Amino acid sequence: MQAFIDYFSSVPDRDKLWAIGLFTNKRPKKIVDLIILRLWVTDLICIPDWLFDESLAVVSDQCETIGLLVSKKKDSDEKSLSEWMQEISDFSKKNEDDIKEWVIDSWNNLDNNERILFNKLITGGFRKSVSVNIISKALSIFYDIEKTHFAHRLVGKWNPINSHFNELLLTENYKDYLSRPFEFMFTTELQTDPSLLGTAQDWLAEWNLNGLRAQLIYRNNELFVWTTAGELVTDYFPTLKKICLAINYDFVVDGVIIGMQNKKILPSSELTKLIHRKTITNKSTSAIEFEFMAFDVLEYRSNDTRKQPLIKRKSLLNNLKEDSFCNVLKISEEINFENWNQINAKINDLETRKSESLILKEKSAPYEIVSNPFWWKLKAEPYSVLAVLTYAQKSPERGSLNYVEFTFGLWEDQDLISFAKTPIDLPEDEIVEIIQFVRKNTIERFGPVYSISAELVFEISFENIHPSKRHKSGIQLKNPNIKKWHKEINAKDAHRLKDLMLFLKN
Amino acid sequence: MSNLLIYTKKGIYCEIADVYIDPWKKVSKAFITHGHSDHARPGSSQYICVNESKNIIKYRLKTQNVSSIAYGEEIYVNGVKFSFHPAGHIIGSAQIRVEYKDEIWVVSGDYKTENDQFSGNFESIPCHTFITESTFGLPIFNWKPQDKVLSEINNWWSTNKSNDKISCLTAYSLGKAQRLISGLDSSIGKIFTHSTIENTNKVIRDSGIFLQKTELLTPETTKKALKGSILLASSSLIDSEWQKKYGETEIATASGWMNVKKTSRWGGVDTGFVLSDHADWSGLLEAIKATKAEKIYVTHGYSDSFSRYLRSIGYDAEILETEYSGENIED
Ligand SMILES: [Zn+2]
Ligand SMILES: [Zn+2]
Repeated sequence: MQAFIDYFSSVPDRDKLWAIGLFTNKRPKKIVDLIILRLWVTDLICIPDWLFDESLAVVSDQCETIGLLVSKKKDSDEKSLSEWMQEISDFSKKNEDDIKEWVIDSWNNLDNNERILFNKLITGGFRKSVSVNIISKALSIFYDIEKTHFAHRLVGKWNPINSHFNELLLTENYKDYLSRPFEFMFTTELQTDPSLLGTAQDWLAEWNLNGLRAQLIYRNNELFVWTTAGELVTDYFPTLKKICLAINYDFVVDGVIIGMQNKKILPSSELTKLIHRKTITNKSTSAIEFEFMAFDVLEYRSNDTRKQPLIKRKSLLNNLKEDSFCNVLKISEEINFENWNQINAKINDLETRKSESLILKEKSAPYEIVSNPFWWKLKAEPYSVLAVLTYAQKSPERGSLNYVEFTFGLWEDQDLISFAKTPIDLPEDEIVEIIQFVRKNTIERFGPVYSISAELVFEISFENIHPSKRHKSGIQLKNPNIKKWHKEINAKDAHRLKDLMLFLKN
Repeated sequence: MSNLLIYTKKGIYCEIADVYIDPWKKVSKAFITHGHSDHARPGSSQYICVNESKNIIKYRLKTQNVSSIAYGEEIYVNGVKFSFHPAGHIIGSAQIRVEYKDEIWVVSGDYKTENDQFSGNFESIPCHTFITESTFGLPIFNWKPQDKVLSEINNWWSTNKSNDKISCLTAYSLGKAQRLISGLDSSIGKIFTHSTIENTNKVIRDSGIFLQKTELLTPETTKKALKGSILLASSSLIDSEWQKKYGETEIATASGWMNVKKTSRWGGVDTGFVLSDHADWSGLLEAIKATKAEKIYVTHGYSDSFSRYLRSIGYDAEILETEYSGENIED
């Protein structure tokens, strides 16, 4: 990102626009095939075809190989990025002989890195992309204008050839106002017992569901969906438009986009992956059903409701739900509890809990970003198992003697099956003792990884467990950590893999 | 074509004179092209090299049995005439010319055709048979003139300095390190060296060769002294402990391998400058052409492709298997 900011400060607006365009998939059409380019270069420097292949084997990239085969012949006036792009687009209409002459002349004027980039641009091989989010952030720092402003402008259809930098990115327009989200209110992790928050009756609780946090902004009959990362993602979730069909007033709701596949909730990382995919295909989303789990309303019938107490906002949210006549819009379920003991019991009950954390919200609080938070996240006590240390991995830094990661196994018959890797978070004296043990008891070494005889038993905690086909153990743990070294326990008495399977729901 | 020099298990051998050139096994009489460890190996009874290389070889091979002669001076061994000529590779590097009954062979060792003002100016020697290296024997290797690269390096250093960072340049302790030191602009700041490099510097200065002032990095070197300086050392020195103690440090390396994105990762550093002590593609071709040799033997490097290319343009060329290893990124 710093590279973008530095670049923005060093070039005129036209170049900025092209740089942004190139990194957001707005590339020029290819004007010559790689295979033709290859013929031109082998011809130019008189080398046989096989020698090109041998060189390619060392370099691994055609555009780079071609670029390295030519040397800079003359120091000429440097052309700017936009001048180059203009030339590329002009030459796209010319015949092959003219293009050849221009390409060879350009090669002679460029240094290696520029020549390689040039080859990528004219053969359509430039595929580096940077998320709109990062570019918006860089622009936001450079111009000191809100990031969301740029994100919105960059998402639409534009093209560096016929767009004007100021018009596209800087001038205010009415549509900006319409689409703009409110600042998101976040939760803070509760490190203490909830009873310290005060009277239980003043608080309400909701499950913290796995999904993509977003605001739905519906103004002037148009819907905008914004993530907390300042990304405008409306086009990725067309189903959400159904929510607004029956509503004839402006509103803004805060909540979570939930993706369901085969009746199961997708992890939020899957949704993030989806919106960072370059093209939206029906194929990629058709198997997933989306709904919006709303938990707050920030604007209702064109009125900003953020100053109103939460319980008032909740009732407005219920009105909105009724007006929508649409089951894509869900209202976040409130958890019943009368005292703090009950809430602790609910989050730690494996049978009935709906996620591994819940959010406590003060009923009288406004939707406001303040230093003393109104929303707290309460996490479940982590699970734990007793496991045997099987592998230790050394730091990749040359010469370092530190271990960076331990692998643990659980028994299956006579074998230990690896099921978790953890960072090494133990008291200093225990680490020293373990390192000495590892040194004396290494069975085999695979690069930086040392396999160790099965003797040391540790208590491993984790937040959640999912089935996984990619792992030999058949499961994947969320945030596994070393809780304690149990010197008194014999390796034979560590848990079995099937003990861990009991934690898997359904 | 006679066999004035032949290939044996111990190295390139002149049977008539009982002399080996850069042998990789222990022999009685070894003529050495230069001090790099793949060319000068320990254990032989007697070493002969040029004056500029004498102390280096004594130091690196830990032996006293080194005699030396001047570039161009001739010595006869059982009627075979030997002489050493500048190879431009590193300080004290030589091509070895062997002549017997009107037949001339040249063993080039490692060489570079560009004059770097420090390693000696490569001399073209007409011969019948030329033994050439091929470390960078592919057409993708084309070097920029040295002054361009040196100014890139000095710019990098002064940019780091203005950002309050230390610059660390990693380099092979013999050859590349001294060439870089000679090219650094000491008006930017101080030049520090790690002991492995400084020890070699001392050997070179003791041979009467001028090398600009450097300071040895010691445990007593302060953060303040290093600020804005450049350090020649191995990159393994710069770990998180180092950065904590001395401050942010940018690491770069200078090597021919930096020319290609894939091989530039070998250095494991952020910035790579393309600067090699070996000839590039056109350097190799020009050197070979200038010898007017009828027969070319190709040693270490891309010897397969390079010898095949030489044959395709009309040379009688073949590979000579050796145990030389080419350009290292680090010592
Ligand atoms: Zn060498
Ligand atoms: Zn060599």
